[in-house]
Amino acid sequence: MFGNYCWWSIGDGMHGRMLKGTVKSMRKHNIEGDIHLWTDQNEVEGATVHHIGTNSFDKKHYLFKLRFLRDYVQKLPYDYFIFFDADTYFVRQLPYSPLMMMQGSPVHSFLESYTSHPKNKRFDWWDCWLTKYEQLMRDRGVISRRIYNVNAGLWIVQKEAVMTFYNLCDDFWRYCESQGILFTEEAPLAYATHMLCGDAEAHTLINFTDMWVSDWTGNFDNRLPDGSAWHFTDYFTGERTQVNPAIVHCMRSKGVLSKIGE
Amino acid sequence: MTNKIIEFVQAKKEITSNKLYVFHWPSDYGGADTKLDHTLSILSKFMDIVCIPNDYRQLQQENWIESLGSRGIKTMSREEFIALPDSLDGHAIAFSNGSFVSRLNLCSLAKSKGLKVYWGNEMMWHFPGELEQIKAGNIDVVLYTSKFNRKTLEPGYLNANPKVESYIVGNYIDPDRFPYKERQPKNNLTIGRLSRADTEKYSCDLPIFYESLGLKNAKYRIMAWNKRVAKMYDWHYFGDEWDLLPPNKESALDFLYSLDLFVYKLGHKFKESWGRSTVEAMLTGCIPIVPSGHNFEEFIIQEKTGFMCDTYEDYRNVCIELQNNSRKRYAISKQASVYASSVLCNKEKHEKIWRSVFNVW
Repeated sequence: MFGNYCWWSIGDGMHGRMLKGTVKSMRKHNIEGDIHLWTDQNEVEGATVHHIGTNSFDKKHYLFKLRFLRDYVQKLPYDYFIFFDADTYFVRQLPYSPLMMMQGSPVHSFLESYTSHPKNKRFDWWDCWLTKYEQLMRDRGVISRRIYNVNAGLWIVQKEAVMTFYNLCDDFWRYCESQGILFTEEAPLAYATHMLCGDAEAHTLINFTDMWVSDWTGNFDNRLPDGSAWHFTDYFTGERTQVNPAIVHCMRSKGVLSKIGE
Repeated sequence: MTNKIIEFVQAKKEITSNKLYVFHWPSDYGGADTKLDHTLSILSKFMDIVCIPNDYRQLQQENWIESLGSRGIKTMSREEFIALPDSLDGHAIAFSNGSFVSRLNLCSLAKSKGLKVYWGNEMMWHFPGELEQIKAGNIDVVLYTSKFNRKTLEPGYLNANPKVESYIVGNYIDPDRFPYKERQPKNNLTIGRLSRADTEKYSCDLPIFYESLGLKNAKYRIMAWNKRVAKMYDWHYFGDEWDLLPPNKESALDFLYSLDLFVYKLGHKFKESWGRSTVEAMLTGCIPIVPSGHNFEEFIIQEKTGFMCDTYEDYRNVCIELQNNSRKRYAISKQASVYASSVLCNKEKHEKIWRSVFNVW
């Protein structure tokens, strides 16, 4: 069942300027859907600005994304809300509707790296051993055979599921806190996705590398993606896969992205 | 001083009567109420029973008055019980009747009248007032429904009163009320679940979980469904393949006959102390596919009487295999029913347990 959707994000200061650059890339490639920004920028062409003051919200652990969804975004008149980080760049039109990735679930995030992969070379995530992370997920009811991490650069929540999603995230974060682990928003996002998606394998990144991938290793080191193929590196195994997504989470291109937004 | 002597005499008083005051009323809905209904059939063979509902209006339920009467069970209102003399000889019992230990305080009333008081908590948490009543000595015996139930509740009970007596009485379902029925050897299966319409019992992903199992042309039937449960799944579009039934829309028997597989994924914070609907399903020949843990190890022999699943993939693989293998489905269906009726719900075994509890032979 498809409905309408909007894109949304939050950014102040440099991140506010980056958002301008992101929106430019979206409009350049005729990306469908309204765009709502919570930003200190006065105007962003092609987007609806919900003005906030610079440094006016608590950025601790990046949990503000979840709180903005709960407090503001869910009030907007759309069926689905697609969050994108400020350091996102669109290189072409989308290969299919982003709602195709929902597959009946009320939540989608890109389940990225398998925590128990036999080829793993890295065994921690956000200062938490992967074995501990797995245990925390199992403790709170995750039953997929494989457990994944996520990059929170792009994710989708259906309007009617916002509170369920938020409560799952909040519950998991607090549970981890009680166990001495202070995660960012990414672990709760991974948790809520595992809990709400039925078959976790249907939401793994590998299924959608034509849509979105995170350039966390800096293939585009302070330059903008240009639509050519590049190599994604698995966070735990270090294995490289050639990808060419329409949307790049260009985490190492913040400077150049904010410049094009100026 | 005089009060202490009375308390001592009451505590040591020998119960010679087989009179049993039941502070609970049976119904067709919910684990404790249905347990009472079925258990009364056993108890009425050797106990002289009076049922006392919390609400006098339940005494106007003709079907239940008739059902109880046919088993020689009398009824009375709370007011009538209060008016009885203060020196009764016999037993008082309640199963998961929160009012018994708190609001109506029937527990201390029964104790003050000289009855030996039994309390069965079917849940996996303590009712408000329950531990205080045990600490005050108003409950003589606690009744567990399973080892799993005991493991959870016993520490609280022993902390309140280290000398409180206890028994594991299990859970009885009259097999004659859930006779086996052979399912058709079809390939489009009907899967579903039966429980109270308690949101805690429902997993947050129920509809997408069922639909992603990959069964061909499957039907999904759920009972019981209400507004609060429906609200959990506002995000899902339920197509024609779904049948969402309010409580008691069908008899439990008819509902279970309509299912091939009883796929019971529970809410992630919920612990099932026994799993009455699962055993009812087994009796009818509906194959249970349940989560590992809880109390299911007591009645699921893996791949013989059903399946316990650790992962989503386990659920999916089992469902697909059973869809594609009707001979296996028939064999497990039959085995589940035979095991449930001959072992889990063996009438003689349960009668022996209850005779031991009340020391009536």
